[in-house]
Amino acid sequence: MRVINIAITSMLALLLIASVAHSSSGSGDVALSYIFLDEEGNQSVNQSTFNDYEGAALSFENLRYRFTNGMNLRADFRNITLNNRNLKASLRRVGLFGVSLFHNKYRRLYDFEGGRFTKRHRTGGSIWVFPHRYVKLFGGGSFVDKSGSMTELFDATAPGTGLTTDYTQKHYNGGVQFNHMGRMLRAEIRASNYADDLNSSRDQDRLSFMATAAGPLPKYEEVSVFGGFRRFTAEYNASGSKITSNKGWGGATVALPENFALKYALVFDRSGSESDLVKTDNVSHALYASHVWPGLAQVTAGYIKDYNDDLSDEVQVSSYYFSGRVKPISELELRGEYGARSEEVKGGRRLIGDEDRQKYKFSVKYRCPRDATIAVKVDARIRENEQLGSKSEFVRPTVDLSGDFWRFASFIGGYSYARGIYTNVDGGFEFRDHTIYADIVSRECHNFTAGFGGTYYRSKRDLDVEKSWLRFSLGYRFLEDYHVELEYNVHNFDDFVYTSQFDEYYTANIVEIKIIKDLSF
Amino acid sequence: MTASKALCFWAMILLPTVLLALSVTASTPVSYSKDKLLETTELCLDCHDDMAESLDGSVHRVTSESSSSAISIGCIGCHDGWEVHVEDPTVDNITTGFGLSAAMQAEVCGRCHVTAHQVAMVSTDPHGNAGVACLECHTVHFNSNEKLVANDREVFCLSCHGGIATEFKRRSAHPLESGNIRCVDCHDLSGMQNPIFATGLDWTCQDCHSELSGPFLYEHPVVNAHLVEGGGCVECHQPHGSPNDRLLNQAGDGVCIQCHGIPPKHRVVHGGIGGQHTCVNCHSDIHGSFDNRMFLDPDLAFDCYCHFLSK
Repeated sequence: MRVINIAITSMLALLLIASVAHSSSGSGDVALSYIFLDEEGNQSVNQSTFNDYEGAALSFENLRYRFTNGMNLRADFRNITLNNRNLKASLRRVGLFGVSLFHNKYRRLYDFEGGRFTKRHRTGGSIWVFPHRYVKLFGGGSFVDKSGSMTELFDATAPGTGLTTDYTQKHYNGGVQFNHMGRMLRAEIRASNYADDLNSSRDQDRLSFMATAAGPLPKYEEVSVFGGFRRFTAEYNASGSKITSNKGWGGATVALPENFALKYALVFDRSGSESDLVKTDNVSHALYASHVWPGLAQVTAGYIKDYNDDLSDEVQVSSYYFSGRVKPISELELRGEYGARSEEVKGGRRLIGDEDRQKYKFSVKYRCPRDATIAVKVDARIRENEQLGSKSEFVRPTVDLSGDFWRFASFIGGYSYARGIYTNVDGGFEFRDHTIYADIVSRECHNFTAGFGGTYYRSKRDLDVEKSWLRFSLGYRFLEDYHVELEYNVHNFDDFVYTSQFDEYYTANIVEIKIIKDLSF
Repeated sequence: MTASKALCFWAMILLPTVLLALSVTASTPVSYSKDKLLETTELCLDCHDDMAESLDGSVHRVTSESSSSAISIGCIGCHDGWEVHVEDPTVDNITTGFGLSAAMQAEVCGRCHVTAHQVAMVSTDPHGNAGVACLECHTVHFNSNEKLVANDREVFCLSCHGGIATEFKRRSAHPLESGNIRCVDCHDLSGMQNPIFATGLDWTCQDCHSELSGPFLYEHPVVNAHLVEGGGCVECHQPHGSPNDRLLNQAGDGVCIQCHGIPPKHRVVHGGIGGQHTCVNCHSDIHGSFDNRMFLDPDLAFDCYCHFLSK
């Protein structure tokens, strides 16, 4: 709690600094609202409402404050008075310094009445400063606290049993970056600590050091090289059990004549356990070649070779990658990507044996007049494992629409169909998901605004789930910089597979009345 | 260690050292003097007077009320061909961002900005390989967002990744839509190791879920599968959102029987327990165990013959 208090106090201090300093301009909203929540059914099934609370909420949204000396203050404090608060603030002067802070909390419900839940607090901040034009010092830290109780996995038939969890994680980082005319050197240390309040034998510390560098080769500016090294350790405090990873990477990009380019990258990683002297090596080589027709098209082809070598077996992987994009006219863009990957066990044996993967994506995007956009996309993944007799296939066509379709409203919406088929060693599983979403917001007319939106999700085949969320809003502006908003949300969830004893249905009606004052300094 | 791997290892140690030396000793690329920037910027603003305001408050600002020191790049730092354009002002003889290819945009930005993010994008990042250019995510003019991101909504990434957006609307999902996490909390856009090259210990998930990270005395190999792609958490979970509870790829025992058959004894003992109950009812420490190699619930009694052997 101390960390949270410090964070909130710091954020308020940033605001105070803003208020006493000589200002240039600023804007934002302050909103006071009340949320009425009426819910019925199994509270653990509808994730969209896990973090809705009844009560009064105070928010400062989209605050932006610019000082005459170039300093910028931003703040976004949502639902300060409720348990789902989400606070962010930053103060920065471009090219000189910056500080940012955040704090939020959220929960996940696990039982019918909502009495069993876990909650997570995240609080942190970062700071950077340029002591010299070419030198940047940076650092930060965060604090995560998770506690509560949850049901065991797949525990619908035994709702009484549960697990408790209570742990904290602290992360710190700091480093320095040198930049000079297209060259960069960066060094960073990260440390983290995990403390389990229920089982101290699981407490552990992690430490990593990373150095990276990049820049063009002297006298060969068309060749840019990059590389880096990272050492990572994780150690249990009680047992001293320790794992270590040393990773190095490097490569080059070469700009060739006639808009051709080559890229090469190498990654070497050795991960090991110091307690049992087991080590795993990973080596990757990647080579990409591309050609660009400026403003019209681009094609890229790549080959990646990976080696995975541990105590008992060695796996070699070959991957191929192709991508292309073309803009025959300025309003139309077509993209495509294809990747294939083949894993082969060269030495020893592993449970899953050889494995093949493929993935592809295609998209067509058309930008209509008046900034409306329509995009049609298809992406798919296939994984096949002959030795296990298992296979998984996904395909997902998507249509996205956005823009100002009418003079009085803006629109965003889409439809997605996702099909997944798993062929397992013992049976199979298939799902077919349909997702439709849309949001229409009117322009202000006679001081009134209105909005309508919704999401409908349906999962079929081996699952039978229906989930919907409808939103209606109405706003009225008065006294120039005040407006009142009324928002009505309806949530529904039903899993038709479950029997009545452990029924998984949920419905909620949420009404929010909000009075907003536009701030302008 | 084979000779080739030893070579790779030492190359990885030496490469940053060499790069460091190069970055210190490298000759400075041609740059404009402060006076030249001031002079040419004034010339540009004679015709494009609204452009000064469009850069106000950003690192690229070309005017300052207090002093000329604010001008660090000027118009000609980004727009090439200005010498001809001044004499013959047409749109064809001066470069503008959207008229440049991804590589050319990267070159222009790279004249000043060489950050880990930028190097990642132009090396082997999937965005770079797919031809996604700087200006598809960043806008230089008329933009006061941090890092000049074109739109500072938390879910800006989803404006291109519409299919991923719908995954967050599924039955179980990470809390992105409620604003509790951001895309970049998991996706490191500054990782010069291409995400598909996430070799070795990948702590993306474990940064938040340390209780499941191990190392355990008895590891479930898939959790820490040190594979270049695949392996690890995503073998069983769909991180964005899933039609199943707890982000699982498949319902019930599906994720288990993707690799493991149900052992024959499980089908007959305890009234066919293997068919009636889910695997993790008993194998509850499925991410890893300090107690037994079968990941059984430590609270279960182990005095029966079969389970004693298992331990």
